[in-house]
Amino acid sequence: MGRILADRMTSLATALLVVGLMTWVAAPEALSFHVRSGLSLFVWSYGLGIPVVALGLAMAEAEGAALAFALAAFIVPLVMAVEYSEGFLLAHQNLLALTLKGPVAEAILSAAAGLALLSPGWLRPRALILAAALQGLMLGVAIGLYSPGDEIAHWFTRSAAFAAITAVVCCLAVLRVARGPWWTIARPILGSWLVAASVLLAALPFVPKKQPVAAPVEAPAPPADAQMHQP
Amino acid sequence: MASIASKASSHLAEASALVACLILISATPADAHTGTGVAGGLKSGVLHPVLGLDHLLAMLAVGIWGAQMGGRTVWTLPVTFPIVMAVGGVMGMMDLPLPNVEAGIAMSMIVLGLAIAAAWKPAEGIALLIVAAFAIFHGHAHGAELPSAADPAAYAAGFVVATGAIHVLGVGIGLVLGRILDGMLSRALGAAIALMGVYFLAT
Repeated sequence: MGRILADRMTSLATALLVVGLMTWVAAPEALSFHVRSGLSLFVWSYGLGIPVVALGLAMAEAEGAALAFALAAFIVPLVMAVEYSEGFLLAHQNLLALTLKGPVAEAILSAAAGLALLSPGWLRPRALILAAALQGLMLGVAIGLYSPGDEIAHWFTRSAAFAAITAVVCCLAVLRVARGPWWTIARPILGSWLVAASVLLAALPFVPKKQPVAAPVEAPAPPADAQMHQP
Repeated sequence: MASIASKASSHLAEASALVACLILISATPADAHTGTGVAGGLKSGVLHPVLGLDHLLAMLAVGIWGAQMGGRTVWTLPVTFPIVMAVGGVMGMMDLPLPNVEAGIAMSMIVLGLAIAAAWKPAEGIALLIVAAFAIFHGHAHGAELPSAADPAAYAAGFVVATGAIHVLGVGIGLVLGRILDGMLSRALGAAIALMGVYFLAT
């Protein structure tokens, strides 16, 4: 059963990667900026990208119903938020305000993925589904906020949502094949990194920004023949 | 005979920890981290624990000690350290005073190095407590530089990931060296880390 699921996930991940690559290459010139920006959003914004990768890794251990629920919990709110972004953003103004605070949203995403990895075995499927739902919802809102807002903005939002789903499925598929006893040690360590990062990110908005101390600027030395030009 | 040696090692490590704590209380700060430098983003965050030899050796020691003790501590020590370090980081960011930060970092090298050298295997709770106490000092040093970073969020992510990666490297080194010469190489490395800690404390 586990082997069959691993094979299916690998096939799905490969198919998603091929579709993503073809879309990147074959997008018409008028749409290519939106498509490529959407597809690469999670590469450039690692505050969003790292928790997505961690969620995919956390899903690799889930089996059967827990995996199906976790995938659905991630994909459904993400797609809803992207497809109905305007109405969604209006309906979730509190969430929007939270997302706009920058590091706080990243802190929540990191903490959710980190706790899904750190949780003990009996709690892990529940924590995973909760983290997946939270990430899907918040990423959907974040993608809406990054959207250029023009009449072809849906090319950006759909590409970004596709990239998020691809990233989760690829990480899940790779780890299902590669995991071994080493993952028992690596899983909680990775989880602790995310929780630690989330603690720092959550504190960040409340810390006054320090001005970097600039190095003293020395006046340039006058040229050796400066005296000669004096009146 | 083996149990006598083990007990002697354990007493040696306990005595070392006590002496180390006494030195820590009396030490003066080395001021290697001023908290006023211009930090960048992810790269600065990654490089801070990697290029600071004191951080690097102490965090390697956490991994090596965990591997040496075996069982759950292989991962519980490297899991505890970053989470508590983040708390220390917040203290540093908020400018909450913590005395003798640099001395604390040097002492972490001495205590963890001696623990490895003595192959000390205390109860898991005691090991976690020791690691957590020193993590506060490391976190404070990183956190003090965080608010002045150009991209504080990236800096935070960078130093947490680098710290964890060094722990994993330490676990790997500990697991490999632990199989060579009945773990003597691992213990020698611990002694070297402790000596480096004495050097940092003295300078």
